[in-house]
Amino acid sequence: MMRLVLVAALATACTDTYNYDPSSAGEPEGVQVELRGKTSTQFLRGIYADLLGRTPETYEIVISVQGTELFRFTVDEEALLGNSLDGLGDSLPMRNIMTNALLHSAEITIPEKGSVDAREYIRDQFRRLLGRDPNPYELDAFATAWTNDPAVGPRTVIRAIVASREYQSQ
Amino acid sequence: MACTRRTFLSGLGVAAASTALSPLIKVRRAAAATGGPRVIVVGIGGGLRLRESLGMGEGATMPNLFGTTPLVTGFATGSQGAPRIAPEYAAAAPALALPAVRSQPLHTLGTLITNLRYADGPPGHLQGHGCLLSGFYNRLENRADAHLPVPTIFELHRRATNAPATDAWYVSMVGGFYRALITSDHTAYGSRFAGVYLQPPGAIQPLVPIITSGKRVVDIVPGQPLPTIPWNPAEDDAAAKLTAVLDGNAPRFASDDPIVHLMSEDNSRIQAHLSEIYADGTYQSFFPDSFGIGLRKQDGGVDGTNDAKTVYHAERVLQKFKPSVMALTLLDIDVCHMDFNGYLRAQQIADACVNHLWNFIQADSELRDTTTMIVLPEHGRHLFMNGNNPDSLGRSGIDHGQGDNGDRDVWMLALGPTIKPNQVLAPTNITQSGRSSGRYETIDAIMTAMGVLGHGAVMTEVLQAYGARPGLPIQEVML
Repeated sequence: MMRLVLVAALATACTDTYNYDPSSAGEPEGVQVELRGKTSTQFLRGIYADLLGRTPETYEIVISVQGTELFRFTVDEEALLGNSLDGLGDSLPMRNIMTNALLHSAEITIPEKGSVDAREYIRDQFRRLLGRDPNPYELDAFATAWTNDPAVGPRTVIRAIVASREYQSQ
Repeated sequence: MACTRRTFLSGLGVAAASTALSPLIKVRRAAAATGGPRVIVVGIGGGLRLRESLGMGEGATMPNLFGTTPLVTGFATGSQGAPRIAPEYAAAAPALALPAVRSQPLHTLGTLITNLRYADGPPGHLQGHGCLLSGFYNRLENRADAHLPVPTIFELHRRATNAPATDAWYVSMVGGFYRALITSDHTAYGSRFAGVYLQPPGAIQPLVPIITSGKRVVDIVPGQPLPTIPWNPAEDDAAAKLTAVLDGNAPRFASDDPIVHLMSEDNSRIQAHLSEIYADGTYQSFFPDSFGIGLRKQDGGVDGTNDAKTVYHAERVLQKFKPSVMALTLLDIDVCHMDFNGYLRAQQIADACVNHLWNFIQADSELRDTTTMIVLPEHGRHLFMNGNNPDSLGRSGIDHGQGDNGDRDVWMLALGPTIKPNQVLAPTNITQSGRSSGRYETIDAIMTAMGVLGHGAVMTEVLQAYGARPGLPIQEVML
């Protein structure tokens, strides 16, 4: 009896139909999403975290002459460097200069070119800065440049990745 | 960011197609690079009244531009001496560093319109400079993302000539919202035709190498370089090539991205220009004592005011890039809200800076033969004082913005190979539908500048299509 009731109920239920508008999520395959650039603040906080392992800070800088303190003043790294970036309409040139500067900072150690395995180092930097592995074409291009161009070393790899649209976008 | 096989291959395809087509779509070198006309619009911003400038009501504040005899009536008569600075102010303020005044005022080399009218729009700095960059009276909101609705002079020039961004510069003493003035929201123009915006006091900042060095104690030893940002052009090139590998496989920035994105070739040149400055351990590349304009330091050196730094770096840009279009914004004189004496002194600085810029142009044979320079305030200031910071001579600060005649009566000085020399004019009976002033106006100065570059017709067309009143070319100033 119970079975009959259930069959009857299901048969009734199956007579109802519902129509939904087609829906989609994300972009169709093959369509590339247009990027939005990081603001100066987003870039600064990102580069500080990625390269120095800290956030921008506020602290005192002491200026001395031959060891004798002349004066000291407070510096807000984010405000000052952010203003400097915003002093250009497209701040990428200044971002590249700041990246280069931080890579020469006393706070960071860059390995010697000869002390690391090129492909492993390149892979590590892609993972660290972009959150992904290099594809074979990218890895080959970077590794070839590492071998053939004396100007390409650990610092150049980081500079190249940081300057890319992928890193510079939100 | 995930990279599927398909996107990777399509990226390669785009990169390959771009490479194949690049000879065909290469940006043409700017006309000016082959000796075409150039225009520099110098906005003496901050609100400059006729009374103190041409009227010399407080002495000759701008002797390089206008000499020492008033060029409009009603404020002072006869030859004027130095600006009248209150004695208590003079005793406390650092001395100005100013080069010797030129023997022949600049206005005698060109044409001076003494009755120009900033006829419409709020007498605010952003709106006033928006007008100087577009020839359009506007009511721009004071917001970082507020773009003009009509194309700027940079966009008009770049679209008409297919010139690179480095052929059109906006060098501004002011940052903030002014950054948005480099491009408009006009659908046929916009950021792909933007020029280069450079704010020297912000972008070229000697504290940057100190902060990024990671040192918190900087010990200055005579003869030893200060912290720098090392510059290795070979490494820059190598990094740029590898970045291109990544970018060749990445989506483009959205066309409506609020951040302007220039071509990589433009950015490489700008980066090299700035890198050279940041690599100088003497810091004289930030602002050298030899520029000679600013505040005198105790050691005899010169502290550049923001206007002086702006003009110094505008000259560096002219020297290196030889652009066809440049607009400058000065703003030191805006201290007048709180400091009338500072306002008078800042006029002296602006006057010396404009003279320095003109001399720089004349010393370069290519620039000298091709550059027309138009100098004008973006607007004036109120006819009345505001009571702020009164001095012993009975004067106080002056605001701007209410739109009285002090706010709107300005002037224009035109100089260059296309300009008639030795004219001081106050034309009247200028007629145009919608023009009630009967005078030449600020929008006419910009239309005249665009006419020199050959963009007058398109500027007129675009403004009319938007429903705006276009400026009239000022024929009286042209040879």
